[in-house]
Amino acid sequence: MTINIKKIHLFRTNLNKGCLIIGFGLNLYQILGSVKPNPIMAETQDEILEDVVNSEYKYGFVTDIEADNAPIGLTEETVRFISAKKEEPEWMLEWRLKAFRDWQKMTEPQWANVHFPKVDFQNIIYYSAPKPKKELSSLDEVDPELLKTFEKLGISLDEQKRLSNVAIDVVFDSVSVKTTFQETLKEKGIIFCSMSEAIKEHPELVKKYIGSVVPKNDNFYAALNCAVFSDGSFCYIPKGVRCPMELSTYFRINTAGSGQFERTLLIADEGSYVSYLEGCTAPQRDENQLHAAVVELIALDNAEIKYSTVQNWYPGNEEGKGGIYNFVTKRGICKGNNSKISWTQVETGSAITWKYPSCILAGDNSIGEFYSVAVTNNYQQADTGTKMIHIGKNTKSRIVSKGISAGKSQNSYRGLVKVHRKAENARNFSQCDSLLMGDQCGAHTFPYLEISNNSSKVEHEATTSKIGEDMLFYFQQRGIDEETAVAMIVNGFCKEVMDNLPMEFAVEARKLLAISLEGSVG
Amino acid sequence: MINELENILPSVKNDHQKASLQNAIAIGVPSMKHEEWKYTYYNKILQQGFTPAFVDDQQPSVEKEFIDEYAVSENRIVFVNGVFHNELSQFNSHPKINFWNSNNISESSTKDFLLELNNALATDGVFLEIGDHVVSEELIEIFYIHTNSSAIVNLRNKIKVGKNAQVKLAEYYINYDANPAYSNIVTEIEIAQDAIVELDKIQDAGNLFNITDNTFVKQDRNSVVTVNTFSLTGGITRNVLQFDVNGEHATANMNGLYLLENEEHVDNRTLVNHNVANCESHELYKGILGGKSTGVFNGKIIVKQPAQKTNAFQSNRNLLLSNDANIYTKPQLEIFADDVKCSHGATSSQIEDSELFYLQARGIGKEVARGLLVYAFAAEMVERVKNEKLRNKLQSRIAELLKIEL
Repeated sequence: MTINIKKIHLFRTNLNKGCLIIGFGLNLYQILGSVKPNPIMAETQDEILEDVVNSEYKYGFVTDIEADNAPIGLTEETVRFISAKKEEPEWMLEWRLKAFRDWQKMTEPQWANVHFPKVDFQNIIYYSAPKPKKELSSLDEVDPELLKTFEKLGISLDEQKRLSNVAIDVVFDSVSVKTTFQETLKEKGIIFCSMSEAIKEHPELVKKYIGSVVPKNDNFYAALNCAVFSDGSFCYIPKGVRCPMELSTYFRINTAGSGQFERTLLIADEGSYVSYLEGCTAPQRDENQLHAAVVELIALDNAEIKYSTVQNWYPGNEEGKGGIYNFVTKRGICKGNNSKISWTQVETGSAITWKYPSCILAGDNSIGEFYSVAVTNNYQQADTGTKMIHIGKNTKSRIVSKGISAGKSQNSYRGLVKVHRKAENARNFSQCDSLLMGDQCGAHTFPYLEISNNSSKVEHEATTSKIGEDMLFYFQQRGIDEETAVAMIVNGFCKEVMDNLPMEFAVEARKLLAISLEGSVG
Repeated sequence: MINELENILPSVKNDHQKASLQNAIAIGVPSMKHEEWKYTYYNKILQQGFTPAFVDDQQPSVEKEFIDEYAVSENRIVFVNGVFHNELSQFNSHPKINFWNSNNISESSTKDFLLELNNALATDGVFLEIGDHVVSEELIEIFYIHTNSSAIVNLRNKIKVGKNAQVKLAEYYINYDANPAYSNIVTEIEIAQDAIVELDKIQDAGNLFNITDNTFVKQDRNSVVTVNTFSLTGGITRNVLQFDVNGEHATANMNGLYLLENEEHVDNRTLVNHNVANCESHELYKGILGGKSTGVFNGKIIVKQPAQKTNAFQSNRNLLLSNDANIYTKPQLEIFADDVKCSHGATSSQIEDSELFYLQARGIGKEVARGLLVYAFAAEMVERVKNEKLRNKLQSRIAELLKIEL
């Protein structure tokens, strides 16, 4: 076991006081019982102080599980190895190989406002799965090492089963270990399983929709994902079904030097509704790890998808060493009329973030929303935003992006609003505000507006400012210390976005914000 | 194009020009793959058959009366086909305003094709020097007149404004005999402390006239500089306006109006570098787009780390009158200082039904009401021109273009 004793200790102290932060996607009300989900304020001064002391990344432990790794590097053989390992049908392998050949011809995108040493794509383990992999019928059969890790994270599977009404499809280093609440969902006809299972069990759905929103040669990282994706989640909500619980996937990166390439495919059939949560933590590592995920959402007539993310991967230490490279392609299509897709994200982790959750508003009267809070501290760099492509008539989109940069970080918003010629009466409202904390950081906005329809209305506004001294004074005058005051101001700044998160996530996200920004005011 | 440049290379004598020409060849003609040229197809200008060449000194005949029609003052600096025209130029002598024509060529090693092309082929330009404490009410007007010529007109101007001076400048593009024209003009303006300067760019030379204009303004402390760009008619127009705010408490104002019809194309790029603290910049560009026209706006504000207490505001508003018109706008902020107030905004829509209804309810016919609203949208920009004569002229010209009666 290579466990950092100190870290575990710190972790325990956190657990004792009911560590809010780690219950990703869980119903914290029930787990914590007495703790009210009122963020920051639920904490005593002592606890905040303690957080300041261990404001380093809290989850930097490594679980020693024998991994079934692919050989380092990427060749056609690696792709075949992964496909064979997952016992995939021929068409899937063909699809992967095509993507791989496209990828070979592509180059990394250079336009983002982020700087980092070139990634050596031949020095990555493209597949690692926990062993032994066998069909499990109960939790007892799950690798005890794995269970321990989850326990450390505060989401022991049995507790989830008992307590929460959230079904969790746990992806632990690429392979889905255990899927819970399958039964409840099955009654409604909802399919919620790992991608590899879906390829075997529901090939017709996968075949029809995979790559239909993000084509396999869409961009460099998406093509890479298509070639080597190890696992991910698949979800299908049948016609007219309102998913009774919030679906959640839990990702965790393990195994040194392995990139994680998950793939999520979510289909909401006519008249259905689903809310999907995604949250992430990763163990502390010195070298940079690559993460290139693809998420595809499809909303048919009258369907609604709500997709929420809290991302808290290791951001690197104070000198900017280590940290995750997060290059994600997320895109949803409102295929049917009156459909709606809503993205909400809270980005506090990762050394480099390159992420643009987008909506293609193809159906008439469809709605796309994007709510984002991106926090960068120390040497973090984030280039994130959205794309709203208006194609259908009377389509509406709303963008609310809040960027907070502290330390020596760089935070960029990059967004596109495109109104096609036939998108009659399209409506867009965008707002991106930046808050600067410290004089060494940067905040940037790169909005692109491309409008080809005259009946459309497009508005964009952006502001950049710092926390006013008058605001701080107001708080301090009322006996609230500076650190708490800043946390409260930041929470107020982000309120519009937080309000769009499911409650459990909102609690966690508020805590995350406070922790990410600790010590950055002075 | 590149071949033609290579052909003239041996005939270039000046070292700086030779280096620039080589640079231009190395950079190559801008393509839409380049982020700065994403929405403007430069080759469309070249396809009209313009060739890079040194202009000949032969003076085509342009009557003085022709200029009188456009001019609103007695201070005129006139270039015909890229050559200074002595007989048409006139100047009310002021002891501290000097100008002479000079090629202003300097050592240049930019990454910009047009700047290098200009430096390589410019043979003429104005060097205008305004002395300290000069306060001139009368406009100084610069005319770029084009008559039959397929050569690319490259002009390179330098304007120096002294301490505490107050001047107003205007430039006009005129197509004398309605032949295809392409001017590539670079103007460098240096403004000393406490000066107040206004520059009005009037681009109204008809749709055969293509313009690529680069204007660089460097301002010192306490100075107030306003640049108003009116793109009323034209073929493909690209205006690059760059401000370097180098002294504290300086103010930079950028205003623009583009009025597009048919297949006109205007690409406005502005860049403000806030290099020092306590400065302000205000930017407002408005567009009215009809026909199959295309408008591009790219505004960039960079606030450097030392530029604390900067106030920078930028806004781009567009009115789309036709469903075949396109607007591409990218207001951009890059901020490295924390104690700043910066904002930008961009909007695009058609005329509000509620506004139309308001006027119709008061007995104004729909078409007239529409005209009034569009004119009002444009009028805000014209009002920023300080010179009354020029302002009146612009007002009636815009009304004429919008086909409304004032």
